[in-house]
Amino acid sequence: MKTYNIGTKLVLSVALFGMGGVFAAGTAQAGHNGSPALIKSAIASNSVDAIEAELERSEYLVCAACSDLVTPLVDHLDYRVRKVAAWWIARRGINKQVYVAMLGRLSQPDSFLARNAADVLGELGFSGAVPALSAAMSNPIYSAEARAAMARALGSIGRPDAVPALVDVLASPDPAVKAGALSALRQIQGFRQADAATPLLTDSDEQVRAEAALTLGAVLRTGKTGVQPAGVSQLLATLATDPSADVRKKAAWSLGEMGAPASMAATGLQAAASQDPNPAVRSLAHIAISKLTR
Amino acid sequence: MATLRTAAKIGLVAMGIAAGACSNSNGGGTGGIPADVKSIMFLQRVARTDTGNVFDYTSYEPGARLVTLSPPSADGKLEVLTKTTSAFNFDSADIMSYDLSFDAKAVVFSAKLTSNDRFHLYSMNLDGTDLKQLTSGDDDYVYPIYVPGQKILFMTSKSVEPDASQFRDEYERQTTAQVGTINLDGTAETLGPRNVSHRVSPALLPNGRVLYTEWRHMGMVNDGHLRMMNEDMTGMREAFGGEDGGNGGTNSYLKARVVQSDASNIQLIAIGTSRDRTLQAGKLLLVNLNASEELSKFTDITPLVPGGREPSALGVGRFYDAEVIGAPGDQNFLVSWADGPVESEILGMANSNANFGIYTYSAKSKQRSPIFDDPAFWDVLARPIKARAEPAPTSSPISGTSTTLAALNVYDSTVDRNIAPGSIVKVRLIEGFSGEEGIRTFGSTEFDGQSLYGEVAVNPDNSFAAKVPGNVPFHMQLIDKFAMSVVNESIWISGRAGEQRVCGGCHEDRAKQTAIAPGVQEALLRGAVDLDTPRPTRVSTDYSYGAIKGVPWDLAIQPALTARCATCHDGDASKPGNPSYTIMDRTTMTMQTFTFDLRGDKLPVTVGEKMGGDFTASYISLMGLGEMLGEDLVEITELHPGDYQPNGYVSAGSAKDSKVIQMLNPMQRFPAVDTNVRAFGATVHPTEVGGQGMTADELYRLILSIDMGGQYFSRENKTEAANP
Repeated sequence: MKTYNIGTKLVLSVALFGMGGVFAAGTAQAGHNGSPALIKSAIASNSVDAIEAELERSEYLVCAACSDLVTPLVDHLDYRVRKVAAWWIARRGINKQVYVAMLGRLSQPDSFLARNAADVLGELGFSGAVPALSAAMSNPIYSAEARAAMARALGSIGRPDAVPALVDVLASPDPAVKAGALSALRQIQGFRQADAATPLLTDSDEQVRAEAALTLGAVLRTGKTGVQPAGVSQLLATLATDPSADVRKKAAWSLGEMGAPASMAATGLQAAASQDPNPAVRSLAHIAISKLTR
Repeated sequence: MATLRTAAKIGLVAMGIAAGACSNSNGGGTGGIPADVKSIMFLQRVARTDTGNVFDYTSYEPGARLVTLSPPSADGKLEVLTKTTSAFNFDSADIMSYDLSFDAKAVVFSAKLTSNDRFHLYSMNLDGTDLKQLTSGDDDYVYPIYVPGQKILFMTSKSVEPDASQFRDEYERQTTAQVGTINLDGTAETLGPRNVSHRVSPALLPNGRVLYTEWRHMGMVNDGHLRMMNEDMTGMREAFGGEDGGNGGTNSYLKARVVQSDASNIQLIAIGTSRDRTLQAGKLLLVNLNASEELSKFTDITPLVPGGREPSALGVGRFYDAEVIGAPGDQNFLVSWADGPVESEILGMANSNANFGIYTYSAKSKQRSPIFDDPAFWDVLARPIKARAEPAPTSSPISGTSTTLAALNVYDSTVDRNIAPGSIVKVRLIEGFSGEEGIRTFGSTEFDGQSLYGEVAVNPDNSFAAKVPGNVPFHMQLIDKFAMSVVNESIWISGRAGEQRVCGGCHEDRAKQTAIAPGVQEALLRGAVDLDTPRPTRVSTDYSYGAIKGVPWDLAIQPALTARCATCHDGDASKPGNPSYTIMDRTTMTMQTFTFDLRGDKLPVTVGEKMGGDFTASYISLMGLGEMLGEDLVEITELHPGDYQPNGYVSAGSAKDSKVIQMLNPMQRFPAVDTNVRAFGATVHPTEVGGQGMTADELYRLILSIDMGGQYFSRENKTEAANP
């Protein structure tokens, strides 16, 4: 019978270097050279960068104690930390346990916990979370921030079965939720219902209008399978009249990105290119003209 | 208000004063700046600790600005170029990079105007006129540089394939940055070929080519090397990092700038550092590209600066960037430098920030001289405002939509200089992808997603040519008559749609010239085997030879293991051929016994933090727990000596080096299946113990799976990967 002590070298290294840990120049190996001490030290620093780096480095680290260190990070105040913690967890057996716990959070009323659960579920990427996220996203008990995070999670998971719920919440009274849903729809492979975004070009919220304009161009991008330009007249109206330069910029971009017919869009874009008070709108309208379908 | 660094910066006091006391040999300018440099431009960014990863391009802190300083001294006149006006608001902008036009009259920069925005490209004249936004949309556009022919080259997260998501790095999780170009007015956007991981930090070379930093990431490879391409994004190849860079160099090289060049060499100054935690700052390295990567050499001109990610010491600090000034031979640089621990964890603990200021640095005397520092900002990327020569554009012919790859002699390879003549019968071409397809982790090995395009016969003259989908990263293996990879270069290759890439060999000796007889190349390309099929078809519908693409373990491998192997290898340690070992996790004192088992049941791993139940007993038995065990506190006890195989029975990426393949002893596959010709002697398992050996197709699938990294999940079973 022979016994291997796999961890001896690392134990010694940690003891020698203490907090600073083991540093290696030259070719680094993906997901290696992490340690519980290094993770603990990074978390103690509260540096987002250090936490991200250390968790990435410990991708393959076997360390039961580490889950006690990392799991609480799903409630860190910084989104990037929540995200990298979920990524680390996704690579471990505790992912199912955390997944179940996060789903459970979508059945309780605390918006902070629900928001963080959505962020974790989005990173875990399990398609089984889509129904729970979809249902919670339309539940007004949660804050707009939490529901926007649920939309973001659905976009991250990217499953087409999230589309109906995301389209439904486009009628939400909360701008953040609508904007989040529009952003999520753009991430779903094969999503082509650009007309769902068109009515939001006249939303009262600037961010929603900007997201709607962006969605039309992104979803109907020239070269995608099975798309035709749509919403052209609405985008032209937005370009001509929207008080926000940011929205007008995105409308101009979308008209070009979808290759709108020159017969419909050239005049409006030329007017914007020469007369819009914002120089960025003018330049983007000029670029869009070069992309029109002639 | 501009202020010089104060005495609180001990390092500066220790070294800067000494530097200031040195005489200036560069013609009487301020602090070592040549007298003909009347003005400099630089970027002021709000300090941060969240941009340590050298590939990060999305870090955002509002309040950045582009400024000029005339003359370049602390009492010079500082003017803000990116001023908010009634027509345009820069108040909340962050700016990540910029470049001066060839005539030094205009600037292009990448700015994110608000937290809801993306980084987009803008240009304006240095007198503040003609502000243009050049890109828009839902993707980031970063690292713009002017390139010849009235164009701007940049990196972007926008996918060149409208129907395919941009690659999402499986390791670092971010949407990758890839190359693109536009005209100066933003029209004619053209997106280039993609790598599986990021490409960042481009720089124009005097010969019109473009240098950039590429994250090489395949298996255990994980570094940022310098590569180069034509300005039309063709002809990508290595420049520096893999060879001399491995001789005491650093993990990553970035922000390269040209120092000088002649007919045989281009000399660069570049930052050399760890991939992470160093705020993209590190050593200053002088790199001589010479004629090829094989001949490239570097010199560390800041030997005290750490090349890894350890905190830098007071008085040593780290350099953010460098630009040569004066006569190149004098080796004086305009640099950004910060003192003390330029390392994000230490800074985070201290609730502090690195303070990059602008200095001159003499590589010969190893001394700095302070020029300007505003403690409210990182003062970085300083450039003399002066015209520079515009090289001729560089390009390659583009025709069609496929990428054509050809080699004149596959035996001409430095990956293995001892390939037996006649041993290579085919070239295997493999598509690469990553986490963007919905698979968060592909298996217990460290390879990206892979899918087979096909295998192309080597011609009688040892050449080959094939067409693969354009703009998609691919990988190449030379395979023998047993269909096993003989040469397997651990990088991804990219080619533009319509690009033809003809090599002398397969990673041939790049220090020598390849002579091509007239007409040979054309004939070779005309005979290229077409492996370019639409993306939706690049998934296995059956797993027979010629049809297989991805190799999902449970669907393509397990049926053969169940049929041929699982009767004996059933997890019963009392049977011969079922080695057994017990792992004790010393952090939790939990234990689990693993016994060789080639059945297809999922095996929950209950020791260590990588415990999980994603994989079958067969996968864990063959792949081993090596990657899952990592390096931590586990103790392994064998039932019999040799029962524990640290690397399992598979060498991920190399079937021929895998014990399981050596035991199964594959039969000849090419030119025709011949069961009498075996790869490893005469003994064939399990025939020698009365079992039924695998068929040629079954063996091929296992070989292919291992050669492609030994992953469990692929496109074919990704639905399973997406559910717990």
